[in-house]
Amino acid sequence: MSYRSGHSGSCRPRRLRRLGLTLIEMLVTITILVILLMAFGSILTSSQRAVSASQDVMKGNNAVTAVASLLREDLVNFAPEGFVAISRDAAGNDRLVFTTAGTYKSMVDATIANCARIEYGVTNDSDRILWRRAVLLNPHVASAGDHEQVCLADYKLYDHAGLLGILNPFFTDPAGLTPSPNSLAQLSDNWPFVAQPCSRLEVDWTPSLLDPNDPNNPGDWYSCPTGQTRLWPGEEYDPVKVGGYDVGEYVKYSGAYHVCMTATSGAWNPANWEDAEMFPEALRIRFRVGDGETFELIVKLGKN
Amino acid sequence: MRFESYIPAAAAKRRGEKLRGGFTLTEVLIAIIVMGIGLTMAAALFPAAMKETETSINDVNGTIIAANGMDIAAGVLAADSTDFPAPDTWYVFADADNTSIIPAGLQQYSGEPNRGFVILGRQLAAGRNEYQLVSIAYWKNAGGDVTAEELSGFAVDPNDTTGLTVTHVGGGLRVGSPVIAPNGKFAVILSVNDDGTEGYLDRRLDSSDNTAWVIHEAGMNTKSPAIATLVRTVMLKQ
Repeated sequence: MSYRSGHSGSCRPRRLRRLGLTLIEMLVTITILVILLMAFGSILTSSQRAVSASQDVMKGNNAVTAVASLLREDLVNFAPEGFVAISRDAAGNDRLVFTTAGTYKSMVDATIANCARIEYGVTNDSDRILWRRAVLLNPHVASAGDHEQVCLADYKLYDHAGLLGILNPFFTDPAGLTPSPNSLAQLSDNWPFVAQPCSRLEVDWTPSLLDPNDPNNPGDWYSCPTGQTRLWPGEEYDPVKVGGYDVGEYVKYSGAYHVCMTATSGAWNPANWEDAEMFPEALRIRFRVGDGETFELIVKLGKN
Repeated sequence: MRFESYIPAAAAKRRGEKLRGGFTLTEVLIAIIVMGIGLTMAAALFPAAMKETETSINDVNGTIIAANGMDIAAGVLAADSTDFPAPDTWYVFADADNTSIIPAGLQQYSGEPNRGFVILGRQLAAGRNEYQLVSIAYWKNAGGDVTAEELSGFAVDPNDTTGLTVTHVGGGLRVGSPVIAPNGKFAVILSVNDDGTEGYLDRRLDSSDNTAWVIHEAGMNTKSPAIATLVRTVMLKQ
C-alpha cells in the first residue's frame, strides 16, 4: 500500500492486464489449425470422392441386379415350342426375343395369359434405355395393348421359313408386329424400361456348354455378325466365321439387321430347323449399365 | 486506489460497462483438440462406408457368378457321362484341381482368372434323378488357386449353445468361406482366430456335423475368396 500511496506520482502506470492472445500465441494457434485443416481437408476430399463413387456403384448395382434377375427369370421360363431369336443391328445393338410359358399379367389391364413373348432391346437414341416387353399370347380375354391372339401351338404350325416371315416385321418394319421403341417417348406403360443408360447389350449363344469334340475346352459362343445390308427374305446366306466355325447358315440378312434365330416345331430338336445341333442350349448376355463394369450372364434356356 | 483506474477491466466495471474477455491459448488448444477428435470420428465413418460398398460390389458379382456357375454345371453335367459317386457324398465338379468335367475356361467369369466359381454336387438318393448342386462364387484376394477342401475333424463347439462357434484342429477355417455341411446346409464364417482353428458363423449348423467343405485360396491363411453361395436341387440325367 505504501508503494501505491507513497510513490504514486513517480510510478509508471502498471501494464494493462492481457485478456486476449499475444501475436505469438495467435500464430501458433493458426499454424496448428491450418495443419489440422489441411490434413483433414485432404482426407475429407478423398472421402467425399469415394462416397460419391460408391453411390454411383450402389445405384448401378441395383440396376444390374434387376436386369440380371429379370433375364434369368424370363429365360428359365423359355418355352421351346416357340422360338428364340437374336438380332444385331449395324450399330452393334442386340435384340433378344423368345417365347415363355408361365403366368403373365397384363401391365395395362387385368388380362392374364399362360404364355408370352418376351423382348429385350436398347433404344438407339442417346438415352440408351434398356427395355423389356412381355407380350401376352392368346390371353383369355381379347383386348388391345400388350396382347396378341397367337398361342404357342400356332407357332408350332409354322415351318422355319414361315416363322421367319412372321418375325420379319419385328426386325424391319416400325409399324409391324412389334415395332421397336426407339426413344423414351415411344416407350409406353406396357413397354417399361429396366435400366438407363445401357451402354452395351450383347447376346451370344452356344449349342452346347460342353464341346462334345473336345471336353477339355469350353463350349463355343456364337454371335450375330454386325450389320451388313442384304435384302431379306432372299434366303441368301454368307459363310461367316464366328469362333472358328462356319455359321453362315444361321445368319439371316434383314435390311440393316442380322437375325440369328432358331425355331422349333413342337419338339426340342425340330425337324425343320436347318441344323438342330445349333439350337442354343445357353445364352451369354453381356450388358453394361452406365459407364460401369460389363456384367456377363450365362443362362441355360429352360428349367434344369 | 488511483492506479486501479489503469486496469481497464476494473475501470470498465466501474463505468458500468460489460467486461469483454478473450480466450487463453489453453482454451483455444483445447477447442482445436476437441475439433480434431470430432473430425477424426467423422473420418472414421468413411472406411466403414467403403467396406459397405465393397460388400455390395461382391454381392452383385457373387450372385451373378454363382448363378452362372449353377447354369453351366447343370448344362455340362446333364451332358457329361461321369457318374456320381455313392449317393449322399459330395463330389467336387469344378475347382482349380478339378477341371476335367467343367474346363478351367468355363470356370472363370468373363475370361478373367481372378473371378469364377467352384461347384460341389451330390446325388440325393440312389436311383433318383435329383441332385443337389452348390455353386460358390469367388474373387481371389491374391491370385492363388481356389479349391474346395473337406475338413474332417470339424466340429460345432459343444460349449456354445448358440451353435455358431465352430472349430477345426487343422486350422482350415477362413473368413468369408461357406461351411457346407453333409446335408447341404451351409453357413458363412464371419470371423476366425489367428490360426484358423476356431470360427464364428452367421447361422447355426447341426452339432452332429463332423465334416464340412470350405473354400480356400492358396497362400491365404485367414481369408477365403468366396463371395456368394447358391444351392439348388436339379434334375441332371434322364
